[in-house]
This record gives sequence, structure tokens and C-alpha cells, in this order.
Amino acid sequence: MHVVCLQENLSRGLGIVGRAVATRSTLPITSHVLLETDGGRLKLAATDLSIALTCWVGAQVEEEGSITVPSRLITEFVGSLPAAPIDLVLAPRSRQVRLSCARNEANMSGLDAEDFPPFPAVEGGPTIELDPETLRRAITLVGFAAATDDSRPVLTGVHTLIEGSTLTLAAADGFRLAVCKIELAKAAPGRTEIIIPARALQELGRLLSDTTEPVTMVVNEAHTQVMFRLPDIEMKAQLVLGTFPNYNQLIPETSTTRASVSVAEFLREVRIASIFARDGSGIVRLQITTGSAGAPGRLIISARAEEIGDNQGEIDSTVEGEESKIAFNGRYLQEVLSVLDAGQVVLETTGPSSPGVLRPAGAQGYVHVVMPMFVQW
Amino acid sequence: MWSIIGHERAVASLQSDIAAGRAAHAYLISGPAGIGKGALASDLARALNCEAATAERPCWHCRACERIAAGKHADVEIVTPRSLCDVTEHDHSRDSSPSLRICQIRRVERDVARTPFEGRTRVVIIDPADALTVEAANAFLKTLEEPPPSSTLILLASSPEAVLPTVRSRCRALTLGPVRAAALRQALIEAQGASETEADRLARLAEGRSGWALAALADEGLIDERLTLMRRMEALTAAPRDERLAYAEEMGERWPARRDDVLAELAAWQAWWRDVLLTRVGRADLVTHRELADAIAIAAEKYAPLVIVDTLEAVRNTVRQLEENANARLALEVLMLSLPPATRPAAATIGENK
Repeated sequence: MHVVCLQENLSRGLGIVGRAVATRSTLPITSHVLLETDGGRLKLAATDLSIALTCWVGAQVEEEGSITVPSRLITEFVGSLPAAPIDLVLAPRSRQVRLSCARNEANMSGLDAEDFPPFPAVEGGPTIELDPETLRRAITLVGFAAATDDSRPVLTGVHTLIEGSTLTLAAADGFRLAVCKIELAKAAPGRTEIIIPARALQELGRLLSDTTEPVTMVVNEAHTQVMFRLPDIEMKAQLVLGTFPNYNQLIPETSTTRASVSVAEFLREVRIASIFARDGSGIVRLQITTGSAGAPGRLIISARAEEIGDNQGEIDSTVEGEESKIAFNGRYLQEVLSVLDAGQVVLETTGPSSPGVLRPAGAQGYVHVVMPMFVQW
Repeated sequence: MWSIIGHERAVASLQSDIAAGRAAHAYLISGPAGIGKGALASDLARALNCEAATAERPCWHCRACERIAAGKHADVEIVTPRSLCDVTEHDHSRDSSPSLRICQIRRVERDVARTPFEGRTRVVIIDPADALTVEAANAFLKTLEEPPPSSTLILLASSPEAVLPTVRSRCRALTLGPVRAAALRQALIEAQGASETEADRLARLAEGRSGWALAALADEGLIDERLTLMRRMEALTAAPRDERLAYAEEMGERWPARRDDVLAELAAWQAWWRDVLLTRVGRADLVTHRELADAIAIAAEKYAPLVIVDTLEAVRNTVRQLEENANARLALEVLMLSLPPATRPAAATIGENK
């Protein structure tokens, strides 16, 4: 194998696939990255057996071949080299890769490419095209709500439903739920329901910010794997098995109070209250008061901790319906408010023991539900 | 072709499970060390992932079979007390703990929730399930009862009783008994290329444990080790009481750290007395350790059959007591005192210390 490529291209490619390299794995070869000539390009691939990333780098292929090398070693080495062409040589029947760039030369011991886990072909199932920016936004709005502990594996994934010309992403962790709908340019036949690991989507979101071309999403026939194809990059993910809870029934259809507030102001006040809430189980109390003639409605945000102190802040709000009181975990409010890209958000409540609903004003298709905390007022 | 030696019944039941497409979600394979539990589990993992036609699985030459045999398959994993867990600070490969812990089981649970990467079925082999701590076993119950559809869990244990009843009841049990010497002999000749004499000798000494026979085939020293152990047993029966008690003390000290050694010595005791009994009743042809035939014959002369039976019983009781966590030194001392007094006439009784 003999390949010549530019340092910045190789370094960028290694950085991309490096996100999928396993840190602690039962299979030692998964801490390696696969280098393989593919047509006139150099293919880089890595997997932690949960997600698999492949990236193609422009290169001048002198001689075909393949090898795996420790990911950290090659990534750090290539990343530190000056911007110049890199000469990558693997002698026939050897496992020693020689890299030379400018006046540097390095040898790395690798493992047989044969032993690298074969990436499954993902095909045969539904295929859709997505706008990268819309998808990235949806992942940002939904991904954070997925569970991070493994006690219920289905909740560590994002429920993905393709039906007609709508793609619905939903994530929940037992205390909150985020649902985002995307309109597709072209309708897909039938109805497809899969659970994609939240981590995979977050990695995808990172890749999407660098592209403007449409992204292709393919599910395999058995509905066990999903693939996202970007220009020069492919990401495959093992789907989570199981049944996702029916979340539609968790979204309240009606509400008795609707308060519209500025996202920035609300987030600021929640942050301030959280400083005091830290010692009191994170409880942030919200009071919504209706306005009278001349005076606008208000949203009062407060928190208190025994023996520490308390805090109260208020912001103007357009209130419809009754006055109400409700308490939430401050962290949940902060997380959702910091990803909202709208200027105004509508908070809907139906008494202190019913879930609160947040909808960004003007933007259709996103809804966030947070379970309240029970407090003595 | 299933590579396992013997265990035809277990193989037939697994084959019919697979052919009918109703493999259990969890198997508990039990049997003594060296009997072939690991080999059977590995065969099952291959059969579940083999790319050949159903009747030919496992074929041994498709990509999946080869990768599993080489331990490189991404969907087949053997979990031991040395295995990884998700806690960054833990390093089980170095902490010398003999237990399989809750953090390791949690990683398994996370693993099986994902669909297989390259094969059809994710196979997790717990080796040995005896090592599961109570907390780990309890944490495992939910997954064991209903693992995700594309996963199969295989638990290996020294006996079905070695795991919690709640674990046992969630698995399909396969109990492996000793392999017939004839089957073992044939396999040693056909699959391993052993000479007839060698195969005869190994099949006889293996006591039905194919794993031991294969290990002894590769390492001649194992047989010598065993015979040395037996000679020591022989010497002990002729030794005065203070020497025997010193032996009990030494074994008692080894027990906490090296259980297996002590149990192996007691197994050698049992084997010795078995051979003595067979010789005494005129079935010297069934003797396992023919290399020691002369010594066995001398011992057989000395004792009445009932005395030998009592001694065998005493050794067995000691093994049971040790497994039930009796004071090791005490149990072994009792055993030493209940041995027939070799150097005295058979009429003298223990306790008469003149």
C-alpha cells in the first residue's frame, strides 16, 4: 500500500472517524482506525460497535492496500505535523506503516485489516432525504432529553417515526419529553418506526454543521441499523431494540393557563433561581399572574433553600387563562430554554400537578413536556 | 459440525432448537471443570451466527465461524471476572477479584440492548456464572428473563446449584455429565491425531473430562502432576498421625486463596480410593490409574471393602463440608483422623494411643 495525501485532509478525516473509536472495548481492534485504498481515495473507518463512521479523503493512490493502526497514535501524530503532503507506505505482507511528511518520519505497528469488524451494508429499507440544517436543529431540540443512564435502554434512544412526508423525532427520560416534527421534501412509503441511540444522533449533529448538501437516511430491511450519508462521510448506527413508550398521550391537549414570555429573559431568571435551588433539590417555583388593565401579566420565578436564602425574579408575560403556580426542576427548564431558537416561548399549565408544556412561539412542530415537582407553597 | 466431544444429548437438543428457530434466550450449561462447557457454548455461538445452510451450522469455514473461533467476532463476547465494565476507574483485569460484579453485568445489559453488529445473534457467555455476586445476579434477572430478541445469553456453571434459583429458573438448563471414554478416545485419535496408546491412556485418565484430555495431550506434565498427587495420598495413608495433621493444617491454610488446589487434592483422594476399592473387589480392569497398579494392589490387600467405602464416604463428606464453608482445617483434620490406620493391624481403633 502506498498513498500520498495532504496533512490537513488526513487530519480532518481522522478527527471525524475518531469520534467513533472505542475507548473501553472488549475487542482491542476497535481502538484502531482502518486505512484502506478505495478507488482513487483513502478510506478511513472506525467503530465502537455501536456507531461506525467512514470518511473518504482525497489521495493519490500509488499502490492498493489496507491496514489498521491505533487511532490515538496516528491522530495525534498527523495532527501535529506541518501542512505538507504525507507519504503513507505499507510494505507488502507487513504490519508496519511508514508515514513521512516534510522532514518527519514515523513507523507504526498495525493489525490486519481482515480482523477489523466488517461494517454491515445498510440497504433495503426506507430511504429519505433530509436538509442538513433542519435535521441538525431537530437533533439539538430533542437529543438532550434522552436518558443517559442505562436502566431503561429504549429511553437512551431517540424515537424516529417516518410517516408520509413527516419525520418525527422524540426523546424522553421519564421526567421530560421532547418531540420535533420535520417536513420531508418527498414523502416516504409506509410507516417506519425505529429508535436511534441519542449518542449517534448527537455525533451526526456535529457532522451536519459542516455540510449544506442533502443528507440521505437509510434504514436496513430488518430495521436493526440506520445509515446517514453525507458528502464523503457515512455514519452507521446500531438501533436500540424495544418498544418506545406511547408518548402522544403524555402531551396534554388542553391547558388552563398560557403564558408567553421571552426565552432569553426566562432562561436568565431560571439560571438565577437555580443558584439558590441547588441546595433544595433543584426546585424552581413559577407563579403566573394575569395582568389587569394597564399592567401586563407576570411570570414570577423563585427558589429557596433552607438556611441558605431565597431569590425571586419576575418577567413580563402575556397571560391567557387563569393564574397558576407550578414548580419544576431548574435543570430541565435551563436545558430546554438554552436550545430554543425562537424569541418567545409559551408555557402552558393546568394546575401544579399536571405536566407543563413549552412551545416556541411561531415555530410549529416542536413541543416539550416537563413533569412538575410537588412542593408546599 | 459441532466440535464438542460427546454430550450427544445436549447437542441434539440445541440442534433441534436452532433448526426449529426457537433457541432459548438464555442457557445454563453446567458441569465440572474441563467437561466441555466452554466448547459447547462456543459451538452454540457459531451455530447461531454461521452463514451456511441451517443443517450445516456451524460450518467452521464461513467468515462468522472463523471470526468466532479466533475470538474476533464483534457480537460474541465472553464475560469473565477479568472483563471490562463501564466505570472508568475500575480495572478488573488487574484487581484479582474472583467475582463477576454488578458493574460488569450492567455493561452486558447495555450491550445486549443493541442489535448485533456483524452477525445475526449477539451471544454473551458468562464464564463462570458461579462467580456472579448476589447483587450482580439480581441486577441480571430482568435481562435474563427477557433479553432483546436478537440476543442469547449463555451461563456456564460448575453445577445448576451454583447459581441463584432465580437465575436458574430463567434459563434453559443443559447439564453435562462425564464423556464416555470410548467417545473421548475416538475424538482424540480422529480430531487430534493422537496415537492409539496415547488416546487410550488419556481417555482413561480424563475421567470423562474432554477439556482435561485435550490439555494433557498438549502438556505431558499434567499426567505426572496427577500421579505425583496420588502418590502423596498413598504416602499419607501410611504416615503417622502427626504428619497427617500437619497435612490438614497446610491444606487448611491454602483453602482461602487456592480452593481449586485443595479440591483437586481431595478429588485425587477419591480417585485413589476408588481404584483401591475396584482392585479389592476384583475389578482391576476398571482401574483409572493403571500406572500405580502395584501400589494400589498393596493398599487393596490391606483394607476390607467396607473400610474403603467408609473412607470414600468420608472424603466426599469433607468436600461437601468445604463447599458449605465449614472451617477448612477442622474438616480436613476430621478426615485425617477418620482414615484407616495403615501401619497398625486392622483391629486397632483410632483413639487408642498406647
